[in-house]
Amino acid sequence: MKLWLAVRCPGLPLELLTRGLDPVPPLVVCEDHQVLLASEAARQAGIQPGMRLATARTLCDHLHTAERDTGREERALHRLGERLLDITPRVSVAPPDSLLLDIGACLRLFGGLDPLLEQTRQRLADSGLSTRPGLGPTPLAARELTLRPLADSRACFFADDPEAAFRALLAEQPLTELHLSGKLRQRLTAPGFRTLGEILELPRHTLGKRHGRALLTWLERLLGERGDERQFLAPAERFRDEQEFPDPVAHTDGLIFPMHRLLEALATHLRRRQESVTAIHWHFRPLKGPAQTMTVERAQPAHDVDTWLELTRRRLEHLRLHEPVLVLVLESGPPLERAVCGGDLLTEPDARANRHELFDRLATLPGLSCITPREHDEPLPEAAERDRDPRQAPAAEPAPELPFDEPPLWLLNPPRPLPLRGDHLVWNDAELEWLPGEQRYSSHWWRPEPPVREYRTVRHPAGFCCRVFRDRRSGQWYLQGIF
Amino acid sequence: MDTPASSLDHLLHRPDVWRARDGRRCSGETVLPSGWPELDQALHLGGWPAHGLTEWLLDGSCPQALRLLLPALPEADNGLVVLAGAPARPHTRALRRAGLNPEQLLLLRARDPETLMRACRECAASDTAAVLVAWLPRRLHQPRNLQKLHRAARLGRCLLVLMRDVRDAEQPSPAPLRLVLDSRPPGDLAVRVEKQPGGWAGQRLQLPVLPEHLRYPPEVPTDHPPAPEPVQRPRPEMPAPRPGTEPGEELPG
Repeated sequence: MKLWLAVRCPGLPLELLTRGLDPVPPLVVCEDHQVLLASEAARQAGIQPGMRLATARTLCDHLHTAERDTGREERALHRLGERLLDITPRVSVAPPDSLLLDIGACLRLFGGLDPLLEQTRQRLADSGLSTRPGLGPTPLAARELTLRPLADSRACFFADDPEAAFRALLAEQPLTELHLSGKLRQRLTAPGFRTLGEILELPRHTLGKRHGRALLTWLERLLGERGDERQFLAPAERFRDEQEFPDPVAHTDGLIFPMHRLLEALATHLRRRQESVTAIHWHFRPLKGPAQTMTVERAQPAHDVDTWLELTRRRLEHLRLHEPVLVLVLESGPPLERAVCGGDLLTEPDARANRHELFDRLATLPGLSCITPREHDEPLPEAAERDRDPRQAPAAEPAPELPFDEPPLWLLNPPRPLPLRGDHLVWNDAELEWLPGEQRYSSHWWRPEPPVREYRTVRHPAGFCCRVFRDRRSGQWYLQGIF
Repeated sequence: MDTPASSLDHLLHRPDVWRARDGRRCSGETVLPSGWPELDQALHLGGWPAHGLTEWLLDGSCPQALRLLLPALPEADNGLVVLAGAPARPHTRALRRAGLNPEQLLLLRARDPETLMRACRECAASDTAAVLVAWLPRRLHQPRNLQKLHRAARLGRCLLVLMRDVRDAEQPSPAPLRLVLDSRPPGDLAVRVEKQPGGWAGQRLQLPVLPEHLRYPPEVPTDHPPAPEPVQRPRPEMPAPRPGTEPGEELPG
């Protein structure tokens, strides 16, 4: 059987601004200087939808106002629809406030209608939006029936003749609440009609002559007599969600709670797609000017909320907001397919924790250099070592062979020039004692200026030994390392 | 028939008899063998206390002090070996020669001492580092900070060695093990146990940390010139390598 589920968000323009806020300030969303929706605090001050904005301002001193943004509402509907893509792949956005889900083919998968409705309710629960569901045999019928309690349309589905039951229920719909243009509704109610049933009893061609072809098409789609082709949502490659604040947030502490909500949405998105990410980007958009961006990276792809939030929080500690934030945007980096869980059946009792988590945490400390040395097959000691970020994969090249003699334990890079006083080298006013043994080193003879060095070992009066060398070209002595 | 000695031995093996000197058996402390038999002998635990803070009080500049730890590093339990705020860069080849895998090595450095202190605490507590050697500025050596480091190291199963000055020997410290290290006589490391768990302290030892040729070199003639003066001899003309050939191919043999 054909069955559609419609989800309507009656308070969408207002709730997009108030979700995640506690307490909700007195706030109205207006369109053409008229109040469209008012928050609870604003309604308590006596503000009603339909009121002039100027009147509302006189009723409440600290009233926050926001202009309606249909683009934002449509984007929010898209994101809400993406949450439902694992209920059915056929999710369609019906602006200004509804989502239409073709669930006829998915009932058996979920074990019936009720489990499916429960799953849908769970996915919508943490969106911060109030939703009104409705069922119907066609998309338009389902949307009209969101105006009634879900129990009514659900009862029709379980009736002996569902088609007739839905039609009877639709017939009871008052004309004033139908999703039709205001003018058409006025023209329909003018002769004294009250419900949709009374219209349906009229001869169609007369109705078409009087109210136009558009009404007839709408009626045929509503009743399923004409096909209703819809465009379905394609899942987005990368996650992107945003939170707008009625009052710009100047302090980073105020961002933690909305960040948690956005990260939870990201985790849900990633779980459904069985993906992980290695980077997320936070954009802090002020009222004017360019957005400030903060990137949080991890060494290994991950999808858990807690660690992402902890790393974000640590980054925030050292972030200075240039401007108060009006919109907070979370964008994920390129998604990677989630690795199959490779856990061992028997873990070693003394196994160490995952070191990448430590590297991730250390990377959020500003001014901390955290490196792992990487060796190269170079004969000059100072050229043989380079720094590597421990979060990157280790080098594939094999480690160079170990030298025959004992290398110094500490390396000076670059080598430190030492002056010669009389027969002795001097380091910080201390004369260094020569030890026997000399090594000559020459390499890179094909270069125009090949390095030729004479290595010696010396002892500091404090009791430790150093390796020094003389550059044969300049005659200058250098301290290479300390044993 | 039981002799008095065997009955005493029998008594001593009773599980309810606690022997004050037998720190190894009764402490339950995890121990990391130091690799120096004399040192293991001198420490009541039989090695480094593997989890917690250990203080090395250095008498003057003592760059070879780290050599005391080298034999223990290969036993480091597949954990990281972290050097935080080291005064110079450790030579990876020397550490690799001592048996440490360079992939296990992590070098931390920060201009702000507080950041370094925080990084040390997080490393120690993360349960990924087996050994952490820290050079922290003296003003951070307050007992409160040391207590935090000790707790973090216990939590993260890490041997945390803090390098301090011998002048701080009188300062109270939560570290169960404190050693005073001195690089005189040359080539050796003089170790004095200032405080240790499981019994009395005050042991003194000399450990040969440097290779033989650096410890007792033969007499050097006093008139030994530092090195011959560089002689500017014309360089023999080397055949320029043909383009596209490896330089080594030109060498005979």
